[in-house]
Amino acid sequence: MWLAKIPFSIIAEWMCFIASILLIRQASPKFWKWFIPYLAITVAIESFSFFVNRVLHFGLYTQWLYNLFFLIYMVFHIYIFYQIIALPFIKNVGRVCLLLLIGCYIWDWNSKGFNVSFSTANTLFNGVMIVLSILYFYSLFQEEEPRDILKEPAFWFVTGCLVFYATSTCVSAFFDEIVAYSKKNNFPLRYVIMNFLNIIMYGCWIKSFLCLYRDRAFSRQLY
Amino acid sequence: MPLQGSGFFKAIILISLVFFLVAVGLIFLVIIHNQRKKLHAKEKLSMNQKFESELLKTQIEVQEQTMQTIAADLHDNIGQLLSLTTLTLSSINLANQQKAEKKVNDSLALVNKSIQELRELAKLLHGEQIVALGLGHALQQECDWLQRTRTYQLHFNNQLTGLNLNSPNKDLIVLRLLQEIFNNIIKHAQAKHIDVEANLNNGMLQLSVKEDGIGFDYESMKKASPGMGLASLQKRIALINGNINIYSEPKMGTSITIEIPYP
Repeated sequence: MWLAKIPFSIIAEWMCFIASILLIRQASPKFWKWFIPYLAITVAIESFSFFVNRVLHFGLYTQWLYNLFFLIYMVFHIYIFYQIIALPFIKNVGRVCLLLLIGCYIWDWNSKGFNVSFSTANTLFNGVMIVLSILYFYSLFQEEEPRDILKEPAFWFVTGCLVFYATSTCVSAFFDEIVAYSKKNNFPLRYVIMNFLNIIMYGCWIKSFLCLYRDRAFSRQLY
Repeated sequence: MPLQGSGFFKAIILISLVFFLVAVGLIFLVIIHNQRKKLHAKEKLSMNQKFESELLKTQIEVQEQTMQTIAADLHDNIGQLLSLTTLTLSSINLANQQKAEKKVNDSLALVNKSIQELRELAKLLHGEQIVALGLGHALQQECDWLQRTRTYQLHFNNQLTGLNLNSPNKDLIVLRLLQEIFNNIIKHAQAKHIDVEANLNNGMLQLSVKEDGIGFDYESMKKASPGMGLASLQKRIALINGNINIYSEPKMGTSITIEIPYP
């Protein structure tokens, strides 16, 4: 039964996508609504890859699709961080990060070709995400008025990102070696770690959508 | 190779675990810091509320004292003047034109004196208006008022005149403190000489009042009536983060020094 083969990461992505449709269609500020098309593309690509390779066994090589998606992935994450970090220099930081990542992306493409995973750009992206997450926390420290951060959508988004990208840095850095060893030892280590991290990250994102929904419901009650 | 592979996997798992724990630790640190910040803000708010309530309480106390001052001044001074005016006017004999004119003139003089006294009383009570011209001016006016009674030999070394700094809330509290000190001297001290000094050094305003009255045993007074006048002075000084030193001995007079950060 192919349904039993569905990885937990895809289930988590689908749950997050459904949650985004249900909870943040009318979210405010409006940039949160970008999660819906982004998650739609994510689940479409992941589900397509899973379906053609694991269910239909076509043996299609879909890495090029992931590499193409990686551009959207980078821009989306940096845009969200740019929106939620309340620091005066964040615009410049965002630009530098984006330039560095696109530079690394082109370099990876040029040196490896488009059908191989861009592990260098991926590792750099993980580093950028960690830096941006720390910058967000720094911006929280800078604020004079304390907020209930456990009810802040941005906090949960960043928490999910930090746990995911900090832990997966090692996996990204040794991506090629892990794939080779996994095949030899018949133990899908990357799959296990990434499943675990995906569940945590998408869980945190769902929590952030719930916070947004709660804020919206609360403000509706006020008016 | 399988051994190598298992060692490699262990290393990857271990490093990933370390990164995971560092990330989770950082998040917990942020949450704990935020909780502390919230607690601190809550404490600050409660302290502010306490401060406001103390201030209100003090204002009520001051108002009560002010009422007493008004009552005393109206009764002892203006009331007497108006009674005298009534007596003078009622004793006018219109048949004796010369005497009647003199009595009318005397009555007019008494009414004018009453008006002047009323003005002085109004000025004394309108603290905000007095401090608007500066603390030095307000303290000077207070000392002038006491001097006009001719009961005391008062010397005021005022180094606050011409000062450009001001702090309306603190100014009013300092003025009321001086009024209370003077009230205490009038009521209890039986003093003849009063020395007042006011100056500002390195952001600290110093006000000292020394008199040669009957004095008192400060420690036993504090124990006997902890809620009374002296405690009220100390409470008000604490509200503006200041210090008060009271030195007194029976038959040796009293010396009070107040220090507050200013402005």
